[in-house]
Amino acid sequence: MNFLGNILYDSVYHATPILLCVLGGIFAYKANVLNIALEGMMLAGAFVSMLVSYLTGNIALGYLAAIAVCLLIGLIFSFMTVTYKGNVIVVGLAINMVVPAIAGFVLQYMESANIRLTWKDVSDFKIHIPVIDKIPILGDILSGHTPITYLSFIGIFFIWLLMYRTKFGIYVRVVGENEDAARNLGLNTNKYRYLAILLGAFCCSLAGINLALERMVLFTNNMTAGRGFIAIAAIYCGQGDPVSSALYAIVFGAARALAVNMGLYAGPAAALFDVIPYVVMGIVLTIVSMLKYRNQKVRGFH
Amino acid sequence: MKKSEKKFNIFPKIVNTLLPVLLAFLIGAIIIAAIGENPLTVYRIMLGKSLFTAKGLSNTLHYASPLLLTGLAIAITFKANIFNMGVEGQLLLGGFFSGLVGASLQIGSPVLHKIICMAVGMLFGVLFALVPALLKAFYHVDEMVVTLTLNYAMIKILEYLSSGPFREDGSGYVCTPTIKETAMFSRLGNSKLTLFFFIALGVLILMAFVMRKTKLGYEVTAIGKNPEFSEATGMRVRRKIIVLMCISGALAGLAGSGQMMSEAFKYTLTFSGTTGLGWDGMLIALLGRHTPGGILLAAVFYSGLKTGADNINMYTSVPKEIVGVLQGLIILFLAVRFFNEKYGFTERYKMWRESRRVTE
Amino acid sequence: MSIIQTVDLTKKFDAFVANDKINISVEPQEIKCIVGENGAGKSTLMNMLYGALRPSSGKILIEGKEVVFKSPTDAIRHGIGMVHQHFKLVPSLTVYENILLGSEINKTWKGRKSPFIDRDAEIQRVRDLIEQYHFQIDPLEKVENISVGLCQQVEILKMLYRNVRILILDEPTAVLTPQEVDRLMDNLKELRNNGKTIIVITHKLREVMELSDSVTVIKQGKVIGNVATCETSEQELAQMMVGRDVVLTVSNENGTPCGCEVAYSVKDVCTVNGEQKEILHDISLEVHKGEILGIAGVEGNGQSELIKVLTGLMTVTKGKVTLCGSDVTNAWPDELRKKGLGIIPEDRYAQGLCRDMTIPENCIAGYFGNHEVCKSGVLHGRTIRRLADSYIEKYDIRVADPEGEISQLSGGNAQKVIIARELENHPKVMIACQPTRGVDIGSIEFIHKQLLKFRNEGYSVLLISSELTEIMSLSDRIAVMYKGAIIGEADPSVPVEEIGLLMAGAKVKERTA
Repeated sequence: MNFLGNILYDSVYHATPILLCVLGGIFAYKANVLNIALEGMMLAGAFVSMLVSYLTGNIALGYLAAIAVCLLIGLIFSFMTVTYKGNVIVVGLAINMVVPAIAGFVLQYMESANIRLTWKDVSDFKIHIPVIDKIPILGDILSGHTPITYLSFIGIFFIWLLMYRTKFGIYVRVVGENEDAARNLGLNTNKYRYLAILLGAFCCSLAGINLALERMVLFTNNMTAGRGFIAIAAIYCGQGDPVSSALYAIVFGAARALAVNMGLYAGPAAALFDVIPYVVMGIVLTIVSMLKYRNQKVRGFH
Repeated sequence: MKKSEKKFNIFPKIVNTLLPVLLAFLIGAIIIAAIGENPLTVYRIMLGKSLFTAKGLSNTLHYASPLLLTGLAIAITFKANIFNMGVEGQLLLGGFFSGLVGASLQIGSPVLHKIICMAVGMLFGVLFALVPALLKAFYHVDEMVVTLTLNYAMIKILEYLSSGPFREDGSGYVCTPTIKETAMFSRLGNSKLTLFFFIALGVLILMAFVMRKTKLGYEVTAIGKNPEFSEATGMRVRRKIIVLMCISGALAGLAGSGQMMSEAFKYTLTFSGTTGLGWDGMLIALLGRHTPGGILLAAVFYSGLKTGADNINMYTSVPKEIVGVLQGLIILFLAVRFFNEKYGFTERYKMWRESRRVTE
Repeated sequence: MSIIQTVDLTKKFDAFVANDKINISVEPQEIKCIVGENGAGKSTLMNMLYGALRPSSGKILIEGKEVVFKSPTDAIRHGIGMVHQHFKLVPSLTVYENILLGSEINKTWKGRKSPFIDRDAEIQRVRDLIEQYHFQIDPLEKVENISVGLCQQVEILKMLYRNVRILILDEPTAVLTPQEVDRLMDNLKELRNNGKTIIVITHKLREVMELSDSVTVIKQGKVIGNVATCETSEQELAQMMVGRDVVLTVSNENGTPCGCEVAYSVKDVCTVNGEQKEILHDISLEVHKGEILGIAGVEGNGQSELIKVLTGLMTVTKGKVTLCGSDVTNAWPDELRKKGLGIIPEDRYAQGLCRDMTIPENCIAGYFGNHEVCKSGVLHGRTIRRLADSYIEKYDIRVADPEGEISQLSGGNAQKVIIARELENHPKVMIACQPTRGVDIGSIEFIHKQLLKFRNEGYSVLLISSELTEIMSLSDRIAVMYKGAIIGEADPSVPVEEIGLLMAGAKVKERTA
């Protein structure tokens, strides 16, 4: 593959986990629960999928266990924030701290710096689409990705449908926008918050599986490297709209792809290129916010 | 009458603070038991030596020094409902650059050298904090997301700087040159305690005064409780955000340079430990309920836990990462108020009886 | 037989009895008005009738049968619907989505229900409904883009869609222009003629007389009287409401003649909202020394934005504000107060007080930089407490714990804290916004007297209120605001009708010419 092809392929590759987190985080955002535990949930997905695959030798079990554990974390998150009205940010950060600590604990106990599956290869997960594969550029973009990658891009459409064309989507938005109205309708507002958070947890587990199991067959601690926070930035930028938030996720993925590919030619300064995605995120977030508040004449921060 | 009411209000506060710790230890105990160790022994080793022996306690106080500062750094912004999650990055940046100054500057006077190092640390902490502060103040950019991601960027940059341009030649692992003797805080007696602890304590007392007695403290409380009211009564919330973030950044930077000058002496990739001194600060601020006195107690307790963790590594097979697990769990449980603090137990009981009577 | 009846309905909150053995009965197809002062217990009663609150004791009967509502949905099932004073609409959804919220129509696919919503069918149903009751509203418009009057129509349609027989409206005219009020009345009368029963909660007696068939008066949680509208008068109802002969107007004498020096002037002020739409159009005002200038107008006609601009919470795009000769355009709140502007804000718990802070802390809000309480950045606790004690005594603020939080105070007493704080710092000009909203009658009188006294000392007041009676009785001159502009000025001696016309946006020819 050429340089351009690499970047295009990598954009899709790097966008996937962020995209999944975005799709998962959107509903919680719309339900007015800022889920900053995306990062921790994604790491949990990555960790559990690898650990269980490693221990049982069964990939499918790894998938299932990762999803189950993430849903459990989602349940804890919603229980603490929705039922017990705990501070969302504090609970989210706590989860972001507990997950790597447990992963580190287990890794230490196993006396290993990472988890690796020797009997499985990265290429086993890739799906090559027959005809498209051969077309230049388009083939780079569309072919040779993992199942969850395809799922995540199809997911944009499904999440959009769910958000705008079903009762569930409308109710989640009502709960977030005007809780009073929701209660007056007899909606169980907590139920919709729980569901929104759990949906997020599910998507994050997929993101984690994609990140560790499908892409690298490797788990190292803290491998999520802030992708969850970047996803939150994308949700902020897109204001919770599935399509525009997804576009921002792809932009951030492309920034990372660019950084990685340029890093290849940068020699010792390659580490500096890793900063690009974070800087791009900061700049995009600032521009979006500037545009939003450009004409704001009201003073203050409320 | 009034006094007794206030007394009742203390109980739920204590319960709300202690219960999370107990719950976290309980879950920790289950994890320890799961890998076949006796949790009680582990906890005894962990807390016994570090908190209940003179030498252990003075070491604990030494390790608590940067935690006091990071706890304050978090508390002062959290109290105003600003979320400076960049304390970790500010600490690293401050530590790194005060280390560089400590190693490269040739200054005869040890006092002056130390002051310059600390000033540089604070300056870089402030510089980091200024980015999210200005973005928030002028463009309403969410400071939490910015600081969280800036942390990652900062770690990457420091990784590059310490393994590239500023790497100590001939060292077997990634680190910067060791700081000069004149920039080091020397140990007092045979414990690890240095002057830095007393500097941190002094800063804590100063901040206690600022938060309780000054206009700024009053404004912080008001902004945290009702930002619209604060703006309408002329507190210039925008300016205050910048000021508070700068104070927070300076405290974090000072914590970093203190760590550099009293403990690490050079920048390594594990400069701030496994859980991260900045993140520890968050637990301490929450556990100490954003009050200086509480922060002092919480910092000592948590530092005891961390130094104790090194002991369990030595005497048991439990990985010291258990402290990280406990830390996260305590924060998780601290987010929830188990008891409503507005009412004491007796009032709650009365209200409960009242509500029963109504429904009957 | 009455369609809905309550028997000894009682609601207690802790020791406070909000409703005490309320007995009312509403006949089918009548419009019943329930009137009473602020805090008389009207809202509590209605909340019980539509299932938001559970009665402490007593019964609700519908067509003679006892019912127990667990929730508002339960009440709707029994045919009772409520239109709240603060609308429960979702701004980002369209009109039809709001109307069908909670009872969406799903698409069917091969005879089975699919999870997707059938938007075409929904829109059609809403169109039919609008036609049936002769409303005028576009179902596809987003709620955030429509006027308050239309929002109310949406709320009513929401209930009609659910086939309620009894419609309860809480203060439905508070936010409407006089024309919208007229249309609402027509709508309600038509609904009654179509077989609905309507209960309206209000404290506006003129509307009661015009609209209702019968009236129930509530005072301090008790029913004071039930009368047929045709057998009573506005004056009689007012007497029942307050329990004594009402002098609704404070005597406004000793007003020094206007026309002397200008203390505060606003010239050609414009500003825009977040969407770049101009919301204030060339506002110009002049307040002279020793004068109260009242700004009348239906709520939502730009008063909030004007207040924000004048109190330093919003910047202007054009224009100039002058306070005692110095330019204070776009000045910050602290600068304004330093230059001698007192501010009684529109929403006391949003901009005036901090509920979770103590009374002394609130007593210095806005003036905490003053030299007496704050020397080189350090606050003087004892002085502040003494200051608070002096306010409490001088302004008769009833507190349980003088160092407790503001949240313990009633609306009237909380408002007095603001009045005390602003007056005791000796401003030259006072901007008083909704100074008596949600305040008991005793405090209203007290606050009005304080404002008049301040005026009589030779200072100026800019009074912005949506209570026309307040404006009429206090002001020396009245300006009327309509759609973000000052549409005209009047003397308080002109008949109410003329100001009412201005408030509805009708420019009086002689005046503009």
